[in-house]
Amino acid sequence: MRFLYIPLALILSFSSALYALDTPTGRTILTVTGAIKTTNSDQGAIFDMAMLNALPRHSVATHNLWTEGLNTYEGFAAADLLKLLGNKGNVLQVTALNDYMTEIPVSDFIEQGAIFATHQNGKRMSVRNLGPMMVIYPFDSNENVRSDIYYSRSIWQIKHIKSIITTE
Amino acid sequence: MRLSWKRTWLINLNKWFIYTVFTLLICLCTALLGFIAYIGDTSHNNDRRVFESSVWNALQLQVQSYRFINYFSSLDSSSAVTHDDISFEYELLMSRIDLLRKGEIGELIREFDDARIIKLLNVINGELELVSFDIAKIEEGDNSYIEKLLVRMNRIEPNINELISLINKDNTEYINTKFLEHQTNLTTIEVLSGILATCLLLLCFFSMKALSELRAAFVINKRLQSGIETIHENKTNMTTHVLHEMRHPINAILAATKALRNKDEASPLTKAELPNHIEESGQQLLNTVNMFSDLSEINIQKLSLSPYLEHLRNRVETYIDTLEHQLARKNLLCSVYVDPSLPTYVSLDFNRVKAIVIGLVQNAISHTVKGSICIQIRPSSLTTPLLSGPMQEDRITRGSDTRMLQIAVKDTGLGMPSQLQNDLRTMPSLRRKEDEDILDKVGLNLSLCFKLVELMKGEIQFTSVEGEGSEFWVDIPYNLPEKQPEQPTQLKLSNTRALIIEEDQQLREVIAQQLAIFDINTSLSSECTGHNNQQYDLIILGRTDCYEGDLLEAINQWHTEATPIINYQSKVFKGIEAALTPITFPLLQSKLEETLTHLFKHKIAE
Repeated sequence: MRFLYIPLALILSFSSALYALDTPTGRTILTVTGAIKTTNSDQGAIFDMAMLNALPRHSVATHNLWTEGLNTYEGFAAADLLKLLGNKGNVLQVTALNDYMTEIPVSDFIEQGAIFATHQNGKRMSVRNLGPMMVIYPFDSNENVRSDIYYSRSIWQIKHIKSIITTE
Repeated sequence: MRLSWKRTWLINLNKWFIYTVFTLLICLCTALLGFIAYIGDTSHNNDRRVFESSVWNALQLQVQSYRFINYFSSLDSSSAVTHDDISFEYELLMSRIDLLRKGEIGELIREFDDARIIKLLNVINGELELVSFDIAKIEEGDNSYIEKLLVRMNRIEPNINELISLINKDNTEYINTKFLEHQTNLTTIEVLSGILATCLLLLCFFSMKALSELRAAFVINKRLQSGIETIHENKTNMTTHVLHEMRHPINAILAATKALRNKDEASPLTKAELPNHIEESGQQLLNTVNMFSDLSEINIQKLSLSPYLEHLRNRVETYIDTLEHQLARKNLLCSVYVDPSLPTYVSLDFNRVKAIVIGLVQNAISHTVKGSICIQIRPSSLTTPLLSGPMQEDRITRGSDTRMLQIAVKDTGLGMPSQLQNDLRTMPSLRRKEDEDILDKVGLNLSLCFKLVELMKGEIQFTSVEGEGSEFWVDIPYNLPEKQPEQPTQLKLSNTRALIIEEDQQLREVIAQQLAIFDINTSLSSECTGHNNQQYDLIILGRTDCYEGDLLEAINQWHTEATPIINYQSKVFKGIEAALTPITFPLLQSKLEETLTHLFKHKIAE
């Protein structure tokens, strides 16, 4: 009978890992709201830099319009973040510090290889350097994203993400 | 030839035109594609994007500067501010300056308005750097610097406004320039597309034309191929005909030569006749060769007429005279009548006339077993020659000196089967050069006659009754000389009555015509009896079925009356040979005139 507790404990620990989200200890960098299941505050799911850095890392090396030369951007994949939050939405409304807002389909992060970059050339991106977070597409390696649509989706100084469900 | 040259010239022109259109088309396609590729270059889109980004970032700089001012305006001397909050606001503002100074936007801005914008941007950047000193003091807790910071920010504001207006102005100019460029490009594309469409239409047109010509060429090719096959077939037929026509005279020559060498006593020909026989066969062979040569030249349109002035009657009689032996061998009587109303001298291609006359007579000899062949040369009822070929075609008027004469050859031969007559009458192409099987139908002599008559723009017609004989008559044009050469006076035997005893009606009529030339009145009869009560000045005794006794009695009576008797009876009248004046055939006018002159010399002398 005692052995029956072991699988139950495993299931519980798995479900808690699925839905549990730490509380940020540092300055809040990102707030995620909308069609998500997991939150850690009244505002929604809030993250500090340490929490974001804990997500699996991905990198993209590319040129872009706003910086000089070839830069290597490192950050996390939206898929990992959204999986962590139990996302149901298919479009992300991403807002910058200056309140500029753009909509990015979740598929862009899967099909086009976009990431949320937090580091540029190994250094954390400051607000002055378009940080703390920036959506970056692989402009050099994927010619499909060299268009106004994707340039307008390359939002920087991100502070808020809202997951929404669209019918289209 | 001229038409052919013109056609070749046109074909060459078409060919070069097509090449030119093709080249033009390729050049235009390349130009159009190159142009579209040029204007569709993504770098142009990138330029536009950079311009738009510069305007956007300039406006964002202004917004952020107002937010920055608002942030510090909301603070008072007692407000506690953290380092992170101030740094955050400051970095946010400075990030907008950086975006305008760095990257492709920065490169673009450096070229604007003689670097006025970058200078202005540097000034703003410098002022904002100075703001950082005030921020440091505020972070240290000295809020009195807030006022100084706001004053400094208000001083920067006109610069930011000017920066925005300058960037906006350049962006507007850029948009305007791009609009004009696009208009020009659009016009260029329209023109190129128009030319391209025209070229394509031309190409389609010439392709259609080329296809049509190709189709026509195929048809011509097929016709030519069929023509070649026909030519090969005709060549074989011609060889057969040559062999057929030449075999007989060659065999005759060989046989005569053999007889001469072997002194063959059994030969029906005497030794004196053999050389003549060889000569005659040789002549016949030569004639045959010439006929084939003429036929070939006519078929390839190389034979041209060479008319010259000659004594018509003499010429015709000479031609007929060459056929004496052939006629004699078949015991055929032949007479030649040349109408005195015809000019003595006429301009004709006599070589071709000879071929026609000999051809017609030889044809008659071939198809006549017994009887006579009469040749009559008389004025034609036609007035002008044919333009060409078939009788149905229009006639032409060549001038007042062009007239027509008729050569008629009538025989008492086998006649032509009605089927052959129908074929000849219902085949207008018979006289066409393309129709080479004419040889199969009518043989060499008549074939050449048909061809020559067509060449001479004349007509050939015939009538034939199977078993009774045929008559062919040919109408050909001739020219009159401006002046007729001097001629000896024609023998006239006025008030002379002649009796012609000949069972062959056509022969006795032609002899009568011949005598009429000398003003001799003639009575015609097939019998030698019943003429006792008639007084004649001349008797022409020909073939008759009279009993020998009656004939001898009649001859004796005429002899007693001293009436001259011209005889061409084959019978031998012993004892009265002196009363008969022999005459040989073919019966030519000249020969008859000579005989009459001899017989009536006393009358002529009077």
